[in-house]
Order: sequence, then structure tokens, then C-alpha cells
Amino acid sequence: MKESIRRLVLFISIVGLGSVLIFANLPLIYMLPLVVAVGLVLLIVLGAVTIAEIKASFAKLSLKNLRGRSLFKHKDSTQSGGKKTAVPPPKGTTEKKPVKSPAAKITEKTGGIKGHLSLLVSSIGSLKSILTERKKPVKKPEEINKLLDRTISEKVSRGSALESAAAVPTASGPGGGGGGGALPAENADETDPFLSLSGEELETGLLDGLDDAELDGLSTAPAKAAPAGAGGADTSAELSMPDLDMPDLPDSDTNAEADAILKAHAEPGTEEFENLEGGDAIDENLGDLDNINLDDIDLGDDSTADEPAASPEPAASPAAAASSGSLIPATPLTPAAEPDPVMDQSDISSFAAGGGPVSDDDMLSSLASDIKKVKKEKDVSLLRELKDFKAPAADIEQELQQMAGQLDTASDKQKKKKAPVQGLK
Amino acid sequence: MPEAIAPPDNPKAPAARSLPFASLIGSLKEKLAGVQEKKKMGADLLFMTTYMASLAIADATRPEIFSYAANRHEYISAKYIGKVDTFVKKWNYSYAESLSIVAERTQNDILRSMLNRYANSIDSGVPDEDFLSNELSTVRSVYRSQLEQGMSMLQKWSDAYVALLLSGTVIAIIMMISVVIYAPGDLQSTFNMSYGIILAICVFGISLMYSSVPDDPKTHGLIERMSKEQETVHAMERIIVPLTVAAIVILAVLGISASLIFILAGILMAPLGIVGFIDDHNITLRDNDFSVFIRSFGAIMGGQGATAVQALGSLDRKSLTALGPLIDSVYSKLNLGLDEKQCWDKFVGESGSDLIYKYLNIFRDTVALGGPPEPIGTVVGSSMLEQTLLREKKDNLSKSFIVLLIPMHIAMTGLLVALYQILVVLTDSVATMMTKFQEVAASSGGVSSGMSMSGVFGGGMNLFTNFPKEAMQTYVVISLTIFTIGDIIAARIVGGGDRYMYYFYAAIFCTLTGLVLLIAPTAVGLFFSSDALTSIGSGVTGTSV
Repeated sequence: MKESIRRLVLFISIVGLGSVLIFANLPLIYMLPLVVAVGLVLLIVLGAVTIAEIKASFAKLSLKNLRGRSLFKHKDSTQSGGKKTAVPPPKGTTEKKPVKSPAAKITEKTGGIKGHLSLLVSSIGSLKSILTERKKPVKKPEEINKLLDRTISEKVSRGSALESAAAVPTASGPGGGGGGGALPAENADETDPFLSLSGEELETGLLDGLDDAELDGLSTAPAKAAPAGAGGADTSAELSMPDLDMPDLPDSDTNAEADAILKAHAEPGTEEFENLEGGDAIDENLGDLDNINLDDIDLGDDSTADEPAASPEPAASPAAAASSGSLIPATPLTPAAEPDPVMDQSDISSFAAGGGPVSDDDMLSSLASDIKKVKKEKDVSLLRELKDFKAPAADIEQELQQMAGQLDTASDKQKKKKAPVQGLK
Repeated sequence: MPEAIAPPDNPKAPAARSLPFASLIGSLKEKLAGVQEKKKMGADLLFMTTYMASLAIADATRPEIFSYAANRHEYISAKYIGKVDTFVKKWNYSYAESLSIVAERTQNDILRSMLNRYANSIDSGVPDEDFLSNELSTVRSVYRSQLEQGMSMLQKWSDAYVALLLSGTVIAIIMMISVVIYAPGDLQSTFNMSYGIILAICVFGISLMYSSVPDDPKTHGLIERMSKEQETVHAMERIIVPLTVAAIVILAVLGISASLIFILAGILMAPLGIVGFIDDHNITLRDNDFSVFIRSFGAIMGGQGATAVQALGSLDRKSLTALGPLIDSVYSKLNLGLDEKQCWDKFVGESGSDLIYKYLNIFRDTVALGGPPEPIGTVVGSSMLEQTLLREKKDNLSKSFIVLLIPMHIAMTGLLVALYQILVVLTDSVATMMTKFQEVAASSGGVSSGMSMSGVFGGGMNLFTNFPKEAMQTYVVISLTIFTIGDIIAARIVGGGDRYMYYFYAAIFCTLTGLVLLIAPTAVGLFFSSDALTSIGSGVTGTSV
């Protein structure tokens, strides 16, 4: 039907029906059904609704379909992740479902009705108890306001949440609520047990007199989850070395070898400094350093607690240098680097060149300070993304080889580019 | 000149079929959705902010916070967060810009201010955890003040509704008496006018109360899992409601007494109403227990470092009377190693509560992300506690209103029915007396005193002779129906709860109306009888009846 004709029909029908209703003065009980009927007829005449659609909607309202649906609309049941629940399946899919036997259907139907009726009877029985319970005195508005004020004024933060959780009477049983249960803490395993230890708790004095053998034993001791504030004696027994590639402690026997190596591998560059004057004065000044009492030196706490453990701080090198009393700066420890025997020797020589025997206390105190500074920090979001991610070693090796090959080709290309340039010169 | 050729009508192409006034209906729906969204936004923001703050405590990054929040489709504000997320990820806006853009286009004032504050805090470099923690405190305060304002408005408007209903009753009574006195020719238009006025008064009062009552959805509305009582209601209503409607129509057509129809409707609605009332009560108890449960659960999981199963085993059930059976059920299933998600979904479904559905999912999601259970449990428990306390405060008010509404309904219906019965008795007596007077006048002939007295009485009592009993009865029944339906809707709006509370209040008010219609005529007949009136008339005229 044309739009113009539709509008005309609509206009005429509304005006006509309205006039009839006004002048005919029908009772309300006749008027309402008449209006509804005229409306339906109009919808059909205007083509908004067809008879086939009406038949289809009546077919949908059959008993079978009604059983699967409730009378009124429900909210879409959206689970976490935003998934919608299954809508009652359309007719096409019912054929795929296995046909239940009529006996099973009847038993299901009777079981459902019986269950609902029994629930109804029990509900009516419990109604009395509910009504008596509702008669009990309820909280006064003042009490409710007090509780509300306390709840709303509660500060929302991680630490204050922990405090308020302790303040709230918990419903835990006798075994609950206490710390240090038999079960290992999920998170405690992942936090560094030494983070919360202050210098006072970490009684480095207890480390005095420890033999080298005990030191070796400590380095291999597994890290245990120690509760915060545990006794210093306990912590000393449970000290574990962080994952650092520490060089071997220099022995006195190696000092002579180190001197020999230094002399043999004296760098040509050092000849430049032979002619410098004032070297004796420097030596005299530097000799004063031997008189420094290391116990009086206050190294101070390092505030860089967020530095990742993977890259030990360069501050470790000045600390090590100060403890050993050597001016030659120690090379920074790089645990990620591959163990290079030549580099280790130079490290040993640098330690040895400081003069005087290296004291175990200094080494241990420097180690302790390193441990204190080291803080493992996890990228939680990255860990979350990598959850259940399986990375076979073969794949990683292949990828690394590809990357190495790409880097090699890139460097070769650069060399080739440079070579012609030099040739032109 | 060439004539303008009109495009030919293509008879083959079907005309665009659209319902008449479809655009008007669409705009009305949009407006209604906007009003509903505004009512629900306060609580929704509390859920959303609690969720985002818990994510921040779990050390989620900003993209994660927005992504997870946008996926919570059960929250109304999630679509706005989703827009922000889309602007950032697909259009490469910054978070601050995206929040500002979405805030400009938001109709809701509270949400707009929250989005603007978030944008400002990002611009200022405030960490998300700090902002969201402070924002949660702010939202809690705003929600509380919003609800308390709503409650004070509700108190006033409920008193106003009672006054409006009484005035509607007075109007109906005046109409009735006017019809008796003046005997207007066109009764139906007078009655229609009265219906319109009473309907307008009821609609006005109900819509005002609806706008002032704070929204508090109690049930989760999930289809696949629900509490046993909800399952029973949904199973029974498919049969009982159509049966009730059909029974009312058939009995009305057959001319059965209105009192019996009302009582039958009340009796048929009663099972649904009772089960619904029990479910509503159970949900309230479970919600009250849940805040304690979630705090303890988080504390044990965090303090002992236990898994969920172990923490559930350690929980003391004595203080959790309402939730105890559900906790036992989920504990036994988790202990057996069944799928955790399904076990918790069953717990949520069987609780039937919307608050448990939302807050437990917040707790589970954030702890699954690696968040510390103890502070998250505290945050979730605090938000839950605030909502349950405010609900308790609102329930105290609504209980007093409903306790007032029931006797008021009895009084109104009783007044209308009693007055109708009195008028019936009066008109019957007057009609009898008039007949006697005419007989006396005819038989006595020229007795002047009797004639004059009978003439006076006859002239005076003509006012009560043309009383249309059947039409007036229909008027009384229709007026009572309007009042009953209005009271049912008002009680449900003020009392809150799921839609099965309509059945509960329908059972109460329909039964009361039916009983009043049944008992009131008998009671009036005890005090007012036609014999007494006719004997008075006879005594005056000197005739014996």
C-alpha cells in the first residue's frame, strides 16, 4: 500500500471511530473491546501484521513452548565474560535432540509437580516461623546509621583493608585466622622473605665466625617462606642467596697468582701514566685509606627498592669497592652475562689488587647489603597474560637461532657497506 | 513544457511495513529506559566502582581495569566504560580524552561527574588505585545520601498517596449521593467522569512514589539457575495466572457476585504470594549474612594462604544461618573436585539474590586475577554491608506504610460498600412507603390532613425513588477494582522485591475486598432495615403498614 493511502486510511479510521464513540455513547465495557478490535483490523488492513504472522505467534504459544518459558520477561542472565545464556531453542533444533520416551516425560512432569507442591506445603509451614521472626525487634534507625557511618568512613586501601579485616569479627573457626599455617602461602612463596627485614633484624653479627663451608652450605639452602618479624636467629639460619652469579671468593693463594697475571698482562696504555708526576703523593694519600675503620662508615639505606633483581645495581660496585678498601673500581656484576673465565680472572685480580687480605666480614656485609637491595618485582599483568602459556624449549631455541642469524646477516651487510667506503678512500 | 514525471509506483516492491506510531512508541520506550537507568545508576555505580577498585588492589593495569569492567554486561555503566575502552584501543585516544568524550555524551549526572573526575585524575598523574579507592568512598557516600533522600521523599509521598486515595473515596461517595439526590439523566457519563478522576488520582500517586523510591533489585533474574522458591513460582504462575484471568472473565459474564470473584482471585494468587514472600525473606537473610561471609572468606584465604575449598572448610557456619546450607553445598562440591565455576554459579543461582550474584563475581574475578583475597573481601563486604543496611532502613519505612495501607483499604472499601448498602435500604424503604402513601391517598379520598401529610412526604421522598441499583452496583465494583489494583501496585513499589510480590499483595487486597463486599451488606442490614424506616413513615401518616 502506498504511504499516502496508508496515512489517509489511518486518519479516516481514527477520526471516524472517534466520532462514532463520542456520538454513540456506548458503555465502557463495550467500547474497550470495540477499540481493540478496530485496532487489530486496522493493523491487518494496513499490512503491518499479516494473518500468517498471527497464526505463527499463536503456534508459538502452544503448551509445549510455554513450559519452556516463563510468563514474564527475565533479565538476560549474563555471566562473567558477558556470555548470554541459551534462549529456548527454536523448532529446527528440536529435531536434533534425542526423543525422550513418553514415560520418561510423564515421570519428569509428575516429579516436577510433586516437587513444587511439596515445596509449597513446606513453604506454608515455614510461613509461621517467618512471621514470628519478623515480629522480633529490628534494629533501630540510630544503630543502622552508626553502622552505616562506620562502613562508609572506612578507608579503602590495601593496608587499611587489612586492618579493618582484622577489626571485623570473623566467622572463622578455631583453626582459622592465625598466621603460619601448615599450608604454604600462595603469595608468600613469591615474595622475597628478606624485603621486610631491616638492618637490625638482619643481625649480620651472627654471620661472624662462619666458616667457608657453612657459607657454601648457605648458598645452596632452599628459600623458605618465613613470616615477617621472625627472630633474627631464625632468619640467619634461613638466609638464602639470591640468584646472582657471584664470583668465587678470592683466597690468599690466588693473590700471588693474581699479581703474576697482572704483571704478565700489563696493558700498554698504562705506560702513558708512567711519566706522570705526583704519583708518589697519590700513593701517600691513598695509603691513608688503609687507616679507615670500616665499622664507622655509614653506608646508609638505599632507597632504590624497585630496581629489578635481574640487573644488580651499579651501587653494588662502589659498596664492594669501599668494603675492600680498593680504589680500583670493581667491575659491575652482570649475572646475565655468560661466565667468562678471562673476566673472572680480571675480577679476581681487581679484588686482589686492593692490597691486604680481603676480610670475610666485608664480603659478607657487602653480600648482605646486596641482598637487602635486591627486590624481585613481577610484572603481574604479564604473568597473567602468560598464564597456562606453554613454551617448548625447542621452539625458543629455534626462534633465538633465527634471531641470531638475522643479526649476523645485518652485521655482515653493515661490514660490506663499510668496506667499499674504505676502498674509495 | 515537459511535465514532471512522477516516479511510477512499483507494485512488485512491498511497502515498508511499520506499525503505526512506531516511532512514538520507540521514543517513549527510550524515555522510560532513561528514567529506569537513572533510578538504577546509583547502585550500579557502587558495583562498578567496587569492581574497579578491587581490580586496582589486584594490581591490574589500566587497560585491564577498563577491559574487565567493560565486559561486565550486567552493569548499566559497563557500556560507557566499553565506549572509553573502544576509543582508547581502536581510535588511539588517551584514557583521559576518552573519558572526557564519553562524559560529555552521558545523560546521567552522577556518571558524568565520575567520568570527569577520573579523566582529571589521570591527567594529574594520580595512580589508579588511589583514585579508585577514594572514588569508592565517594560513591558510597553519594549512594547513601541518594537513598536517604529517596526514603524521606517516599515517606512524604506515601502519606500523600494515602490522602489521595481517601479523597478518591470521598469523590466516589459524593458521586453516589449526587446520583441519588439529583437522579441525573445521563448516568454513564457521570460514572465515567468519576472513574477517570479516581484513575488519575491513583496513577498520579503511584507514579510519584515510583519516582521517589530508590531502586533495589532483590533477585538476580537468572533463568538457568534460581532458588527453589523462585522455580516454584515460575512453574506455578504459568498455570495459575491464566486460570485466574479466565475464571474472572467467565464468572463476571455469568453474573456471579463480585465478592466471590474477588475472594476466588485472592485464593488463587495466595500460593504464589506465600512462596514469593518466603523467597523474599530468605534473600534478605542471605544478603545480611553474605557480607560477613565474604569478609571471613577473604580473611582466611589471605591469612592462612588457603585455597577456596580449605577456607570454606575453616569457616564457622554458626553465624551464617541463612547461607549455611548453600556454603555446605558448594564446599562439598568443590571438595569433590567438580568444576569451580559451575559450583559457584550454582551457589549464586540458588541464593536467588542479585547482590550476591554481583559481589561474589567481583570477588572471584579479582582474586582469580591474583589479587589479595583479604583486602578484596573487605572492600566487597563493606559495599555489600552498606547496601543491606540501607535496605533494612528502607524496609522499616515500607513496613509501616503497608501496615497503614491494609486497614486504610479495608476502611475505604467498607465505607463505599456500606454507603451503597445504606442507600439501597433507604431507597427500598422509601419506595415501599411511597406505595403505601399512594394507596392511602387513593383510599382516603378527601381527608385533608392525611392527604397533605402524604403529599409532603411523597414530594420529599421522590428524591430517593429513582435509585439505579444495578448501575450503582457496577459503579461500586469498578471503583473498588481501581482502588484494589492501585493499592497492590503501591504496596509493591514501596515494599520492593521481585514481581512475585505482586501476587502476594494481590492475594491480600483481593481477599480483603471480597470479604468486605460479602460482609458489609450483612453488617449494614443489622443496623439499618427497611422495616424500621417504613414503620416511622407509617407512624407519621397514621396508617398501618
